[in-house]
Amino acid sequence: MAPPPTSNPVPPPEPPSLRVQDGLLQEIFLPSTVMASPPVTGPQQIPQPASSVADLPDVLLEEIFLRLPAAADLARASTACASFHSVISGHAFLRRYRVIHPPPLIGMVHDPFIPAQQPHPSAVPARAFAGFNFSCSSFLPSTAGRSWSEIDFFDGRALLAGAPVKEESGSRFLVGAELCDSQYSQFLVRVLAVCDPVHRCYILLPAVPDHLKALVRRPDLLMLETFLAPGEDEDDPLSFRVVCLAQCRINLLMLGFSSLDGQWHILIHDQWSAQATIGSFENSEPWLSCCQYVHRCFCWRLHFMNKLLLLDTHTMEFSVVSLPPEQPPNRNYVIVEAADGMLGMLTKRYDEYREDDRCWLAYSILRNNQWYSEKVILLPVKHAALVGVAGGYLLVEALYTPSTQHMLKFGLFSVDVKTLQVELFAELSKPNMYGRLYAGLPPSLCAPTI
Amino acid sequence: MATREAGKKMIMLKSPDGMEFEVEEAVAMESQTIRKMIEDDCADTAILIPNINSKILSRVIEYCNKHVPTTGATGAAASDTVAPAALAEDLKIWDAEFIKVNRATRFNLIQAASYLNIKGLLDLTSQTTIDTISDNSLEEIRSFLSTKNDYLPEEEQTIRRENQWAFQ
Repeated sequence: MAPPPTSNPVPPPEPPSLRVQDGLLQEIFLPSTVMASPPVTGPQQIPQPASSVADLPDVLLEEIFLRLPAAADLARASTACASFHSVISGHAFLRRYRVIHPPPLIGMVHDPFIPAQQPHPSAVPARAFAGFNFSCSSFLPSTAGRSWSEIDFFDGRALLAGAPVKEESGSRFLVGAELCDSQYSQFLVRVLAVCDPVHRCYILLPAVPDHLKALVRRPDLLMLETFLAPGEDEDDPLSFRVVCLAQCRINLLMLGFSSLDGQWHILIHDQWSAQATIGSFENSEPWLSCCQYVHRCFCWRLHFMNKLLLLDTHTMEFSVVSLPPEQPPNRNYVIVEAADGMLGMLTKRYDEYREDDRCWLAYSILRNNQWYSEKVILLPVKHAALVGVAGGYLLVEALYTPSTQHMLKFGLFSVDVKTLQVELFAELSKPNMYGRLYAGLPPSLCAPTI
Repeated sequence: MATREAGKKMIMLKSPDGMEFEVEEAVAMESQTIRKMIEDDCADTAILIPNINSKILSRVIEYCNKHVPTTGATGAAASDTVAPAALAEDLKIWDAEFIKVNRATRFNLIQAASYLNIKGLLDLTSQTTIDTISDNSLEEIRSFLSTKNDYLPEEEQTIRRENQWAFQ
């Protein structure tokens, strides 16, 4: 879409008389008027230079724009001229950009949405979501007797389950969600949909085939979790998986829907290979919790054991990592991605012997199966609770005293998992624990994910 | 012509305006495009660089000369005694001086770096260009990049609305 040159139009170039590999050279030829003139003698015939960036071919513009650090820079460049916009709004370009610049955490999906606030760096892209409706149930097909509820958010997609509802005295109830029996019945009857909340499109997943459903025996099921996972094909930004993990008394069943073939498959089904790693057992309660995705691995806490269970999504192999002794209970630590593919951990600590309730985060890194303490990060807050990790940040909800006031307030603080820098993310009017974190690029810079 | 001089293999690069540059093979091979030609044995005689004029080509060669990995044999004996970090720092300063060129030259260097596939030079030239985009107003971006606002009025309104969040 480069505009035609404004001066000295040069006739279409003839193929240059090359002695070397015409094919190779022509393939990467730059726009005609700028460069390709047949070789001539005499220095007076210098090819016409590109006088504007817009004269550069699209592939070079892409190379340049890929280096823009912030989404706002991309948006401004896109507004500068039509040829920039046509490059920047290209889906292939946006997907490349997203790989190089993982989308930032912009806020917490709640009612209403809690965006990052100034002066947090995420506040600028978060502005693009002002008044944005994250709810996908509005554009999903409504079926009598069903109600959609969000069960996961990952990588620009939302996973919703359409579960049967009961109508009683004018109100609609979701058929139970806490008891295992109802989990089992949901497993049998619910419909799953994967949605792109920005482009408002969706895919309805086929039902889990009966022979796969039959692998879960009702009395054995302890816990059923369903979540979004990256697809098998890393180079295909449209590929994703939906994983259904059934924790049973003596085994583990993992079913996966692949967007590549539109089918459900058995990912893991055994007395599980981890049995060899953590010893034989039989449980009466769920034993995996707090699933996180780090460095292409799913990572769970193993209850009753001071250990993490990792599942490599490439090889589908389990491994077990011991936690440091005296690791506090579940909600007090998160696993994060450290440099060079290593696992990091941020653990909340209090000083029990001090009166001011100050708390801090201890950062440690796993090397050769040992956790090494790296750094202590003081939090300028009291009573912190770890909310979750997304878009390169750990979000912490806490009580704090703003510098200009003496009253305690609720607020969200972000901890950059790379730099460990702590910043105020948003002030809260009330405590607010259970929103989902949303990391994404502004709608105008998002390519569809489905 | 591929010649030998002082034990080093030389390569002849020709620009379309008829200038010839004799460079060490190692220097020319900083360009992946030329490297491939040499490795495929397509470069037994002079290599014509069909779309890079002599002024730009000489700058590109200057860049490659500086960035070719220094070994004792290239005459940069200093590299044996200077710490790599200091060397990298020296290169950075040199790059910063090198890229102090007018816009048209920079755009031409981008094209040349892309065509000749010289990653370091493409990084340097592109980065310098985007530094002019970051944190600048629309008018400044247009002026830095010598682009014109070629939107139709109604088009511009839509685009502006979509991206309004980036301007406040």
